[in-house]
Amino acid sequence: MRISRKYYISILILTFIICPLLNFGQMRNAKKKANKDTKSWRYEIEGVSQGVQGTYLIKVWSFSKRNKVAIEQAKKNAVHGVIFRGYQGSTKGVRPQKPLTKESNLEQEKEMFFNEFFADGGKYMKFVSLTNNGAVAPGDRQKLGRFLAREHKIGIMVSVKKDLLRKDLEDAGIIRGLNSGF
Amino acid sequence: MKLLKTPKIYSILFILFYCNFLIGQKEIQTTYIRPSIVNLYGQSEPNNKYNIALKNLKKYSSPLKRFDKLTVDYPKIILKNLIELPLKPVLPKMPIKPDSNATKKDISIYNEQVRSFLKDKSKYKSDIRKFNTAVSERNESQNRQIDKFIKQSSRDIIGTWFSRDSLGNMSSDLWNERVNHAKTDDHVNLAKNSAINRTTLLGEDLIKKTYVIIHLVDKIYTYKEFYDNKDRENEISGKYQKKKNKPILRLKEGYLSEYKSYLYKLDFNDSLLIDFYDRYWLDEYIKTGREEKIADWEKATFPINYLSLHNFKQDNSQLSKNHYLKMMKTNPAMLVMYNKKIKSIPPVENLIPRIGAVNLTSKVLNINIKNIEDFKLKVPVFSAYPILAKIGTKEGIKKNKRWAIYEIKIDKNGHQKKHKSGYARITEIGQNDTIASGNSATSIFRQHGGKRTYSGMLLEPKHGGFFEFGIGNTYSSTNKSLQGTTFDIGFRLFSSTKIGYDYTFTEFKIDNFVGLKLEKKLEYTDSTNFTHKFSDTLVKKSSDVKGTATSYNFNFGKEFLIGDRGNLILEPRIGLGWSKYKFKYDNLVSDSVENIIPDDQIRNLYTLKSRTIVFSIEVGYHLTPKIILSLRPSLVSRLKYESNSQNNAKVSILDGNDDSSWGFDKLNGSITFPMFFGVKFKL
Repeated sequence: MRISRKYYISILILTFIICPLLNFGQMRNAKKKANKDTKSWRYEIEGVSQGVQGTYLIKVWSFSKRNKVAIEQAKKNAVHGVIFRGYQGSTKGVRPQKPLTKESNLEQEKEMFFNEFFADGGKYMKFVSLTNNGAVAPGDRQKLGRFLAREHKIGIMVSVKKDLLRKDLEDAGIIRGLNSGF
Repeated sequence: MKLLKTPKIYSILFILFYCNFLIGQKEIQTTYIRPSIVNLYGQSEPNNKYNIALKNLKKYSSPLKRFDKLTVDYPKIILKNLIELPLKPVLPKMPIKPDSNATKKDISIYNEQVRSFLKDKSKYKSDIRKFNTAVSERNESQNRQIDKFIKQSSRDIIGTWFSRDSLGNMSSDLWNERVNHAKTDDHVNLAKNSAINRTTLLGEDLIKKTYVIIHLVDKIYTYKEFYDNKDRENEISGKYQKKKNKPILRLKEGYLSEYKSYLYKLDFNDSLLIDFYDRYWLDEYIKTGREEKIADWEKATFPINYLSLHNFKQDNSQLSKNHYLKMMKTNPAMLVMYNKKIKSIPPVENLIPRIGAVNLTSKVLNINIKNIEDFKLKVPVFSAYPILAKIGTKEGIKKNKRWAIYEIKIDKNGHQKKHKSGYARITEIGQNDTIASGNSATSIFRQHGGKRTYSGMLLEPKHGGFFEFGIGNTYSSTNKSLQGTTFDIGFRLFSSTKIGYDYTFTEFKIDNFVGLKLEKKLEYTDSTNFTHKFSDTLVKKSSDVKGTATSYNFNFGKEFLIGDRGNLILEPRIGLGWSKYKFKYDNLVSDSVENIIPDDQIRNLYTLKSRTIVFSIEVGYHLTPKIILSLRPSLVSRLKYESNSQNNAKVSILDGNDDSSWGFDKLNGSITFPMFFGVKFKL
């Protein structure tokens, strides 16, 4: 079969246009998907070391491909984890920590407060900081799943000012003080 | 052996090989912790030359920049009771069988020689067996003594790590010093945010990466001994040959030395560390139970594993008087210079102080740098783009070297697997020789194709990518002689400059070809000096003509990468080469020409050749980090055609229906714009 010159040239042009465009597909919906994951609070949390006075030093594993997105989600997830989940200890001598609240439905009861608290650029940012300028440590970026179900699990180390966070939530009347029961 | 001939075994081997890539590891090593290298020394004989060689080995053996040297004060080992090796037996060559004209005497001499040869062969078999046994016994004895020596030294290596003094007191001074040198920004930042500083834990990892190299001066002998042995071997080998063996020309004088380097790894782990603190740790504050701990320490050994053995040779020689005498014969014009050289030859003893002046440690480490995981540099991407990584002068990295970018995948079993996502080359090296502060200098990498890079991906050296191979098709509508299947090879010289070679060929077939004509009458002078003159045109008129058109050029180019990922490539090139038409002349050449002029001369007449200058710009796109889709428009300036015929008889083409598309009407020079399209592979 003889391919005409016009047909051949159009294939060439299309190849050179389509190849770079294929990669733009990766960019779509990254932020949208990460927000969705954050709304359903899909993350893992682990203690890294004993933090300095009044802080927890933790690693938060979020699910996103993009670093910037992962960092922002990690901060929200870290504060959320400290308030509602706590974390397990580790073999490196890190002790387990209980969450700031034991009330399982507090998040639903104070939905208005927490929606505002965890909004983009919300108050949660006061209580969390990145320990390594947001750089992902070796081995803390992992690719999971195959083909369409592929996603990235990114571990970001953060420091959460748990004493300040507790005080703020107590002042706002969201959680009870440590000595309120006595 | 039969099994190897069946295709099944290859299928099984292929499946096993493929599975190897599919199976992940539980956890991939993602951080580089500087290994510490301990050098220990030994010699096979206690004589002066061996002492000098060992002293030089000590002086020159230093590790590469990515390693730390741990100096352990431990005496050398002098190997004892080593077997003196006999001279290596040599089997004489078979006697030469006499030809059919040989006399009876010759045949009887030959038969006698064969009998004698068979006796020699039988003796050789027994001698070589004894020799091999002696060699293996000597090696075994060496290995045994070295193994014992290394086990004994393990205590002193651990003692050095804990700065143990003569009273048995230990401290963590060296440990802390090494931790300070080896710690990274990750360690520092973690420490800043932690209530407990755990950077000293890095010290445990550093001890676990202690490697020991024992350099043994095995043999030292003179060039005279070397040549004497060669003469002996040649004499025995030529025992039954008619030609007498001449002594080998002794062009060099000096010393040859052989070394063995044994590589071991200290097998230290957490439980051993706990045991160490429990049983052996002493400091000035411990007042009770000191004697027991000191006594225990005297008997202590720590596990150490053998990894590999490496043999090295050093040639410590100078050109001898014989060399210059030989040169005088071959080049008498330089007689005065060679005489001067002979007079200025220093005494051979002057070479003795240089025996062993070689860095064997770096050689051993270089050999193992790809085999031992601990020796492989690895660093996470700190940020992108530009790709920055906290690695630099401290690790001895080099500009322009290629690194692979990996991302870690988790398979369904939870195992980690490295997946290469691209390549990058170092464009700027960070000066990180100082102690990590949390904000250390970074090196800058330029990505050379692949997927998008993110912070946390892994960078590992993957040197290569210097050779490229491309295959495709070149199209040229105005001159089809420059089109066809194209092969393209290229070598990277530095970071972006390349030299290359392009070769394009196609076969042509022209219907209703009118013919070639001579520009002047063809003459041919044969071997008897008779000159034949032909009045006819060079070719008969033929209905069609076939041949091959080829073009090739050597080119020089510079690569420009576009975009963060460097996936789009622009590469302007300039090249010089040739373009050729080779006609299949069998049906074309006239009988008179064919009968007189030899084939190769006719072939030259029917080959039209022209110089070309090629300007091109390659536009490439990385489909994968190793495969590039390439489009290359060119401008080819073709100069006037020439023929290689003996009397410079030039040919040109008569008018034909299809001449112009094959460029026959442009034989006096032309400009064409061919276009290459294909794929290139980076190897």
